[in-house]
Amino acid sequence: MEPASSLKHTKHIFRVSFLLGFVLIVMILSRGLFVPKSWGQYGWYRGDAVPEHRAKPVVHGGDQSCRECHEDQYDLREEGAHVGVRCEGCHEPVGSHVINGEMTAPMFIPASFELCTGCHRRLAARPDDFSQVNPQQHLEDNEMDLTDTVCTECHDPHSPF
Amino acid sequence: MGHELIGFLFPNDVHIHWTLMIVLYPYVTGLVAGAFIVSSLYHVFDREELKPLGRFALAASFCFLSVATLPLLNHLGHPERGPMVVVTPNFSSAMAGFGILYASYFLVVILEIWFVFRADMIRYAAESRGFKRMFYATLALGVYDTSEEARALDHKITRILAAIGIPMACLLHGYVGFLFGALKSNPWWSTPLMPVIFLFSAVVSGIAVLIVLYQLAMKIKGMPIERETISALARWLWLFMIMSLTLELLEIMTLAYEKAEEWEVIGPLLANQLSISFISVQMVLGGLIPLILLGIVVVMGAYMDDRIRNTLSMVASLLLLMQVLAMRWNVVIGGQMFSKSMRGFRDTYVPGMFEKEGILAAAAILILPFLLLVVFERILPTFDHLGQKTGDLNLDLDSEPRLG
Repeated sequence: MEPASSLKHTKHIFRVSFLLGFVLIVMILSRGLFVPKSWGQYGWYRGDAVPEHRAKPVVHGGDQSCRECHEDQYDLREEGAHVGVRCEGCHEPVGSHVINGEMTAPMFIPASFELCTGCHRRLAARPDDFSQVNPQQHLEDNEMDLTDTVCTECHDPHSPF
Repeated sequence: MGHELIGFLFPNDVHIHWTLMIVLYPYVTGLVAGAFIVSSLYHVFDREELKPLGRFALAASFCFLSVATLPLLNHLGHPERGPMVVVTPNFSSAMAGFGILYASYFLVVILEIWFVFRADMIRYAAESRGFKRMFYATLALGVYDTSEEARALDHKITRILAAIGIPMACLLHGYVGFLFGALKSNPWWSTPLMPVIFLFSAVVSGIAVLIVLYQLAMKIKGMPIERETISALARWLWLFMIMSLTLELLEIMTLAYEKAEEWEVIGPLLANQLSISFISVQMVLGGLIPLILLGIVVVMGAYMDDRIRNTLSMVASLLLLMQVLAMRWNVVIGGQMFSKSMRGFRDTYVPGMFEKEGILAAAAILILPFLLLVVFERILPTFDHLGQKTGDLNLDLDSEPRLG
């Protein structure tokens, strides 16, 4: 056993060790607070996330729900080049506009340059037969200025050509 | 209309997602590692010429470490989730490594600071009263033992902590390089040299920032700039910058000589998109010129006037600080300037001034550690011990405060 005198000047070391130990224990114990209860129930995620997502209101209705009121626009799109683009892809989910058959708010009508060029800006990686433009060149060719809604001045988004 | 896209880019490679913040993160972390290693050169290896910086370097290391995570937290959002990487580590993720390394390194630095400054804290407590005394007494954890034995023990523990800290500093920064080096989809990042390059450039930036801060601090305090200290720092800086620059060049030369498929994209990247930030800044202005300046300081140091030595090493350090920042930029942003197709590029990336992750936010984060350092210096002066005699302080905290 060590003589007591060798521990005489170690009080501060005991104190800092005690503080460290305390912080470590608090950290380990607090882990339980921060890890959600249902963690790992099915896998590397929170089990409760599944019922939570299931309980969320359904906001997307699909093209057929839009067609019930907007058959003319639906048919126009069916015949045009945007036949592969879903209504709610450019507009908003139908839930923002109609709930239980009642109109709650006007539908968002997008017409922004950014939205169009998101798909149609020239990119060599896209298929050749996909309609692409160099926006600057395209505007110059048609002698137009860049505005936020410049695309829809010539193109009908439901049937662009 | 934004950026120009050149050649064949995959549609999901059009944007720069890792912004200026991800450039800053390894930069600030690097300053930590470098400053800590200088402090350890004194505390572990007894380099007496670095004594004036032993404490200051430790304080600088602590201040940089305190803000090292800020760029990441700003980039990711939800800063309140930041501490979770330490409390609830996910061991299957490489980021858990960061949590563990960062936290334990922080612990080592704080403990070392406490043991180094403990006698000072007790002295300040004894010399003041009221709130100030309470503050320093709390910092000292209420133990006022400044006997020879206790301080010898502090010394021993400091040395052990500093010794543990060296591999930890290397690991922390090597790890940051590993994060990039381990991304196998990107040939500009995915090289085993990456952690080593990051480590050496980290030490370079750390020593450089200390040369700048040391000279500024001495000017402000009206204290003499020690010739041996500046000479030693310049020598170490020269050594580490040569190694760092050599490794950076070796990597490029290997790629250029092998001319494997990735050179198709890296060659044009260096010649066009990164021509200014890589060739002009990282290699010439920030590489070659400090190499010559520090070379003059090291080789002709004996015949040199102090003012010239100080100025040359100051200019070289500032250039090297810029070089390391450019190196981080070239790695982080450069790696996102080309598509994974290896056939297409973006032409530029210019961060906005007022964006969430823009230039102003970056400047604020970069200034913060220096402000912290000023506060640290106010609470625990790092240069005051230089003028004092050592010996038993023989303090009695119950007595009236001493004058002077």
